[in-house]
Amino acid sequence: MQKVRWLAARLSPQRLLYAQLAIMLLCCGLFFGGHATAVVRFEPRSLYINSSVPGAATTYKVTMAYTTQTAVGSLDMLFCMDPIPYDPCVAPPGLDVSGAQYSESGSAPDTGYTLQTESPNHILLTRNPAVVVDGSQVTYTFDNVVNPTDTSHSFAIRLSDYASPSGSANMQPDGSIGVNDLDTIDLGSVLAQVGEGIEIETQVPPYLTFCINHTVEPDCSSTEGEAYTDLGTLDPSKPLTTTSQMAVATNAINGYSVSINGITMAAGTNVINALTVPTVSAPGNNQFGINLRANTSPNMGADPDGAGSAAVISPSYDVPNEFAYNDGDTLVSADSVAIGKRFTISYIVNSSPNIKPGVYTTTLTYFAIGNF
Amino acid sequence: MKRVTSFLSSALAVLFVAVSVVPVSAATNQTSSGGPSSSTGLSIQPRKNYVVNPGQTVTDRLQVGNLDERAELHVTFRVIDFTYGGQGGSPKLSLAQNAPPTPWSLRPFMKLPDSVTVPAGQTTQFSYSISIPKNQGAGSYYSAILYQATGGNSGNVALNASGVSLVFVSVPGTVNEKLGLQKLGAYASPNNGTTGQFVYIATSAPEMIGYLLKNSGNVTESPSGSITLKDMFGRQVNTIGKTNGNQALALLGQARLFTTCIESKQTQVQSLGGTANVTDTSCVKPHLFPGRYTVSLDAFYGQNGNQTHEINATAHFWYLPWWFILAVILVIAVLTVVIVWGKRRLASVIRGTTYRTGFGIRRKR
Repeated sequence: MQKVRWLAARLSPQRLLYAQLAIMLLCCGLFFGGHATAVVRFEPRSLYINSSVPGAATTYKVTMAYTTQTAVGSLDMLFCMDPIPYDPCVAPPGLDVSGAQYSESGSAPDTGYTLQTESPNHILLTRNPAVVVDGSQVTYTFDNVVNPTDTSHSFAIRLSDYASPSGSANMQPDGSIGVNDLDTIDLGSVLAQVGEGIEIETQVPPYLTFCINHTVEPDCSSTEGEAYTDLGTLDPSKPLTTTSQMAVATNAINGYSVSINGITMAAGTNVINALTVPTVSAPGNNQFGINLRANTSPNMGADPDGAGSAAVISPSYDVPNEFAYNDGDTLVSADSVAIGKRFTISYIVNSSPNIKPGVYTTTLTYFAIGNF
Repeated sequence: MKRVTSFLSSALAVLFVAVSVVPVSAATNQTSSGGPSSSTGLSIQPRKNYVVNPGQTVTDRLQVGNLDERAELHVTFRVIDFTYGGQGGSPKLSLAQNAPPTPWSLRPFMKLPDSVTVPAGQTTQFSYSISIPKNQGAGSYYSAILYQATGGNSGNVALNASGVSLVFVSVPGTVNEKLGLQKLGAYASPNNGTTGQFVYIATSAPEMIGYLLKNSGNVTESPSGSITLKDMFGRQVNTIGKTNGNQALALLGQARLFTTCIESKQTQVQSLGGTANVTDTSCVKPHLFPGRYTVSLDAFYGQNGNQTHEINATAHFWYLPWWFILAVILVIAVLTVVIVWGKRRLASVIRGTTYRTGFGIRRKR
């Protein structure tokens, strides 16, 4: 009974309210608490490469300004594919700084370093520690640096300075440094990328293959039929239909798009309206549209086939039994390397009973384009 | 009479000769069987990049392949401009014959042949040049080379095939670079990023992280960096090292969407000690627990000789699967029942006494 009295006295509405508030604040701290880290960067900083030819020996110029005004004994430069200093460093293929010759331009006390090459992708500039000037720009020049050979990706130089002339004692074997590394004073990365040479390349160049016809093989090794078709006589009681096929493939990392261009079926100034949104076939109405799927109404077409999995059909043309057409629309796109895939294009034409007589035609141009 | 007969015979002879020389065209069929009369299959190089100084001319060669083993490929060339079509990487072509050049157009600077014929099953190279004027400002310039294959030109529906090569030129010097972050967060896509939308509360584990950058400078930009994903306890769930693995570009004026998998098939296979197929960049469902996640983006961009810029941003999203929501509702319901029952039980015990606030408990007599 004493316990009941004790509990009853403590379950007063005010105390319940205080308890609820405390729980809510605890949850807020748990769910919404952030983890702030202070990051000090070299600002500004830039990299100039005299020649962007892959594999060429050239001059690199790193221009930067120290942000933290303190004694600096070493400046570390690590060349990696990834600019993030906390990530493992992967050396750019082909890069070699082991033969670099060093010079500097700027004013003391931001200069006075000597070059120490740690590895083909690692340079350490070292000196007796001296207090640097905040915000004063200095340029460090390295001649005879061999460019990377990979033109498909950018690369970075991870910059960091330390009080010790020996660099960081905490740098991991994979080249990363800890987020809260106390040795590091300032950080910063600069980006660069080598360009494509205009000589014949030694690696497989990017290609984009495309074919269209009545029927095609998924790898475009052969096509059948002619690149045109006659639909016959317009009939308001049923749709006129036909199909064609196209196949696309690319080894370019950005993938491709296929777009369609051309006006709708027309006989002089008389047109058959194109279906601007996916619409079912409705005989007796003026309609022109296409899709890239297997249909049952009318019974025609086929779903895409072939090994390529990266390619997708645009939503407007990806609905069975619904057809659309807009000049300039993208029909198919792939956002990466896409091995040969074949698409069957189904065309329908419906006409109203009072359509003006004439020979209705259209010329459709399919564009296969590499993405950027 | 003889003259008439002679005249008639001569006329008939001339008519006979004329008819045998003039070809007779067949009636048009639905579709012809057999191979095409001209090829509509081609292979091209989709993109070329150059660094060209003002006053410099570069000459290069491009390849055109005829994929058809039986018919010749007749290709005409045209330089056209293009821009972005949306947030993705599909170009929007400017096909009008008299379209005015864009501010970044290479049309005035490029020279290439009018046409080329490629024998069946063969590949042909052709030369072209790009001459940048001496006083041309630094920045990015781009246009496209249109390869028009001559296809059908009769019938109700005639088909033409065209390939397009994108040509990018960077004129070095001091440029104006500005990428502004517009959105960052979890991105739900049914097709590896081709279409989709940002999500803040996801009921199924999001497979992608997306960020939207607006290019307000005068150079195309391809940012590079990493994304870190942390749970609500601050533990690092994943670090995505290649935030722009395809080296996608943000064109001038474009708000470009960059997406990357939280976990990809490649990294999943590699983490198990296997060798990943580099052509398969599809995403897999990441192993996430319900809760709030923090996405941190650290991206860099900068042209040669220009200042390197860095974009740091943080965003959040919730992963609340339906089973978790139902479990939470169930727990709350059970707790509510327990608390209400407990209070009623306590109240009934108290009613057996004379308890009043401030007066203490007195047993009823």
